[in-house]
Amino acid sequence: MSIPLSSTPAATPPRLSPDTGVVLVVTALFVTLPLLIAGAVSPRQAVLFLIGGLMGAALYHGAFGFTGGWRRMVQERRGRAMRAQMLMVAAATVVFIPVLGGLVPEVRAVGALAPVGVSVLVGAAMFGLGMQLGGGCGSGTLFTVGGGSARMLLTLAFFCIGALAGSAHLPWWLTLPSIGTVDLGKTLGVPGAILATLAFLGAVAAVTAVIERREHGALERVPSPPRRGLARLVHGPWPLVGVGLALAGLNIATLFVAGHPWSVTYGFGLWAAKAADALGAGVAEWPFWAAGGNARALNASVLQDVTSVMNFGIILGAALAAALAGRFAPRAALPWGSALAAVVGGLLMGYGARLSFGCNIGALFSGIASGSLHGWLWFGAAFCGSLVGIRARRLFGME
Amino acid sequence: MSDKRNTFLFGAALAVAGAAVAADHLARSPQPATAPQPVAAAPAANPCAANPCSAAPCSANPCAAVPAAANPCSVAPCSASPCSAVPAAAAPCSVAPCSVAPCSVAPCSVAPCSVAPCSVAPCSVAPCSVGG
Repeated sequence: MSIPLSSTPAATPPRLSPDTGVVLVVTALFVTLPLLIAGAVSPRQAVLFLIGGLMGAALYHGAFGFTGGWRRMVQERRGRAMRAQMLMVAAATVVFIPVLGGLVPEVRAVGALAPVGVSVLVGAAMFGLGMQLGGGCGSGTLFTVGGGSARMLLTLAFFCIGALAGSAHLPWWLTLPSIGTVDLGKTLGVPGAILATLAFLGAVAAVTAVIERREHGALERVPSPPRRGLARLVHGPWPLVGVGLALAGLNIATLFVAGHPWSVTYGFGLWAAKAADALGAGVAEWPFWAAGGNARALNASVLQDVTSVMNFGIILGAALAAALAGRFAPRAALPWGSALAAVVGGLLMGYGARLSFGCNIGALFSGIASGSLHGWLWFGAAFCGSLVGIRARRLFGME
Repeated sequence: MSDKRNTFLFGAALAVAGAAVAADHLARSPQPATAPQPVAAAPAANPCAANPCSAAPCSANPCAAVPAAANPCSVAPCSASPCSAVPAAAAPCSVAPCSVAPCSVAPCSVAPCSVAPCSVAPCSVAPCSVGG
């Protein structure tokens, strides 16, 4: 994340001056768009748009992102953000695995399962590197774009292009060695899968705590918020742990409403594929886009794609949150090095996400919570890639 | 603090994106049929009279044996697997749509995520017996 993860408030509450015009426009969109989507597609799709809106507001007000959190762990040895991420995944896990295991027959849903193979290993490492250069992961890119970051708009554009390139090459990558899908819920049983997943998540959190204590002597204190109550709810910042739990709840809501967990980057590839197809690139003939659900998504309205509609909601939700916080579209310099990093990072993330079946949300969050082993492989590979990316930032003149 | 130039840039980007979404929706939404054919009237004996691998695969109804089940090419294809008895068991819209066998639970044995989706025989006499 390019904006501070800690969301450290000043001792004196900053004077608030919400961007009234933006607040009015985005609020009007949140009133009208669900009605339009419900009429054009389905009420379910409108609900998913609103869930996306809540996710966007939560992500922005919590400055909740993987990129900054991982970088902070590596550079400053502060693991508060990573522990919040682990808590988020854990909270979703205790609902996802039983539901996906069929213990709640009323809910028909499928998990974010994907094969464990070379494509995930390479793709996730590319993604991890890219997210440090691009300045945000999948969800991070969306909410910072919503917040009005011109740099992240560049990252998003090349994220989409990279995802399209990844879709062109994915069939070849899938010919490389793989052990197939490993569903812990089936392998270990529902209780075993939950216990194993929680144990690993807890172990990661514990390691961050040990490293932080060793470096600083104590865990970081959560700063007191600059405002409380309703003012804090509307204008932020929201507590990191609270946002993590809220995102877990919203992912669970997505599972129940959409029938599958939250994902982000499929929509990016779809947008680029539609644009390329409209320009006559013949994307519809590519193996990836010529088959099954992908072909249907390409040939259908973008409003029928769950991921896209939720992404739209996230962007607008973040825009509303940023405007309410008086921080929409901040003035910021965009040096050439940083712009180039955004381009390279976006391409790497897009390509890597397609190879590895998602980003921090679709693969790590939803994958691990679904009990898919590929989520853990993704986590490890992306973190290693992120270590390289943190060093590579210097090449582009970034801290 | 907000910057008016950046706000204007994002307003323009929002307008362009909105126009693109609207254009895509209008271009890709199915037109209302003038004389809709009742799905139940589909010839169950030959459910795959149309070719699901044709340029217009959605004109086929591989589920015609259970004609009322659903249309796999409906406006909300991801809501479920229309062909299976346990609709949600398939994951046509998961983050890794091709990693699962969307039709493993049952009837629509087409492999929509395979590189060569037409290599299976969804239109065989026993379409559901082909492994998905």
